[in-house]
Amino acid sequence: MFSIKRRLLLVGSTVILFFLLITAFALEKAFRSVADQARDERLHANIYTLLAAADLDGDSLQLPEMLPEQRLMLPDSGLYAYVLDNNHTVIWSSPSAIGLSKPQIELMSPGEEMMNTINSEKELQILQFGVSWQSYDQKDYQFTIAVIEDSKGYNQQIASYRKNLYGWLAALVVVLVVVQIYILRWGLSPLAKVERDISDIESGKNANLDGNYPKEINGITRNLNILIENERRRQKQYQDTLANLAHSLKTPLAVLKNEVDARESNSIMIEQVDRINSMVEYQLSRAALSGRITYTSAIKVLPIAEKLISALDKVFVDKKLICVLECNQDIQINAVEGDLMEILGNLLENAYKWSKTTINVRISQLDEAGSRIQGIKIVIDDDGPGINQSSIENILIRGGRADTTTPGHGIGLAVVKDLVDSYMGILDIGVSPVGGASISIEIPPR
Amino acid sequence: MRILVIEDELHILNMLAEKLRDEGYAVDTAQDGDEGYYLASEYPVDIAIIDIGLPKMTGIEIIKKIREEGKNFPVLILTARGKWQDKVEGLDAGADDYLVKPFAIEELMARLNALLRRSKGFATSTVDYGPLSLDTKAQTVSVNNQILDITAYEYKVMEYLMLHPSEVVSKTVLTDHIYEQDYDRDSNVIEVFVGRLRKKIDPDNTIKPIETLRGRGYKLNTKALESISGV
Repeated sequence: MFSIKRRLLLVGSTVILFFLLITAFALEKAFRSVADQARDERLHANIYTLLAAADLDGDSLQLPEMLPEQRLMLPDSGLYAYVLDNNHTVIWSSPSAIGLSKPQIELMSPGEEMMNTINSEKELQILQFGVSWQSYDQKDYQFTIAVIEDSKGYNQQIASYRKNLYGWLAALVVVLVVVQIYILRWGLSPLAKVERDISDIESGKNANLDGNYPKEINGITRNLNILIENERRRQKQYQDTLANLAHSLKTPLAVLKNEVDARESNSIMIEQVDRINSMVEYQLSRAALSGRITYTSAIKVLPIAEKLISALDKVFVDKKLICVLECNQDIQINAVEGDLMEILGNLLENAYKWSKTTINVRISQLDEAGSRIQGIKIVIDDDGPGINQSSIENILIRGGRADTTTPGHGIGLAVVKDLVDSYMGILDIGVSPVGGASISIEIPPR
Repeated sequence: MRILVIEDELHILNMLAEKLRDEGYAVDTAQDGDEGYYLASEYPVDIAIIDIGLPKMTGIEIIKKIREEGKNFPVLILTARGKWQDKVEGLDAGADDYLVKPFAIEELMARLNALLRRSKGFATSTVDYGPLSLDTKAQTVSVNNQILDITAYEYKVMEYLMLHPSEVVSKTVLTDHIYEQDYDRDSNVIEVFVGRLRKKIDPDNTIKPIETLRGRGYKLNTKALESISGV
């Protein structure tokens, strides 16, 4: 889909182009009209000059050898003149007309004039004007004076004007489009700022939109802030409700379980209470998944991993395990802190439970060109007995529910799988180099 | 051993107290954070079970406060949610282990035993001094692998002495640790228990496993015990 900037640029440029084409057409037309008028006036002026210089000699009209208009004296100058009598005979032609084949000239009545264009060897513009000359003996003689101008100059003038006009207009188009780009960039910069600020919220650099925005988008940013805040509050309320639900379900379950265990009378009851317990545990954990919700902040992974390892070191102190953590302090992930704790906590607890001597934890950042949010890869290797193939298949392939449980790794691993799925990640269970379990998680960058 | 259980759910509290008494613990109970904190800071507690979600003062706050006061008895936290954030917060505040509700009582007992052992610096559930051996898991005392026939209170006295081998333990301390808060105490009973234990462990009165330090209390005679190699 086109961006707003591109749309505005496209429409703006089309309007500019359309406007300038109409302007060019109008200007050219106006110029041509002015040029036509100037040529008419010029031809008329030449006719009046010839009339002024002419004198009647018998029944013919005489013109001096030296004419006031120099161009009429020079051969092939582009300005020619003819005088025809009433019998259509040329009684005079300008020296410039030597070599020019006489064009078709119409006889005009006195006072009548006609302008026309002739396309023969050359394009010629011809003005024919009828005059009546009275002799001393009161006799009227009619003549037709024709002044002819080669259109070459006129056409050159029009072409030169057109070249200039279109050159300037093209330059104007470029200037206007560039100016338009700058205007759009400046005009749309608040929107770009909103986009950047939202991106900062997504990547966790900011908690909300707190910039100065123009009044036109202030409403949107204010509503977005309210939306983000509501989303966070709703998420917290949801988690609190789940915590309360967990508390109110599991407390009576604890009583029931111990009561049933104590009586040791009915194995079906014990089994079913354990089953209810597993289901409640699993389904509550599932319901608590936050997943990759919008506007999660980026959190540093190292402090969380260190906290968990130090907590588990305390709990499993008797096992004297060595846990080696490889994690750069800059590694971060856009996730709810509780989700990351559940993923790492469950995996590490399993590793501590089953490992004999050493646990290796490697956490690395996954990045991709163009991604705004970085991904993460976690690999946890232990030297315990590993996880059997059927359990792996149950969890990974069949989307196994841990309430039909995998001893030791069950609910924890199934919760991790659901969490990783909710972050569109991949959970892989394999064999570590020392023969134990190797759990790998990839949450891809976005 | 004196155990403090802080749990707001009365059913669970009563059930835990009953089971723990059956296991030989002197049990003090509290149903809210304030009372629990008072007991934890004022009484000679050996170990505590603290629920995280408590009224008036949370379990985490209690743990933080008692640790700030320098009390270092082991603490096991109970959590209903089982969220890692709760567990880590609890362990970070100073708890030593966690258990998610609902739990099997055997699991709880095993964890308590392990914590007690660990807090006294022992790696396994048995503590040996020469021919004398204490099994905190089975709650037995044996001499030369022969399990002694002793009462629950005699076991409690022996357990306390064997888990505090370098300390001189006064009769008051022993009374505090083997009897519950509202129990009618009589320190002369301790003398009776010690006398009986001496007879059962050392009928010939050759080893003298428990020394009496006049006016101060009792101490396990580790030197004498370790000088005799067990059978």
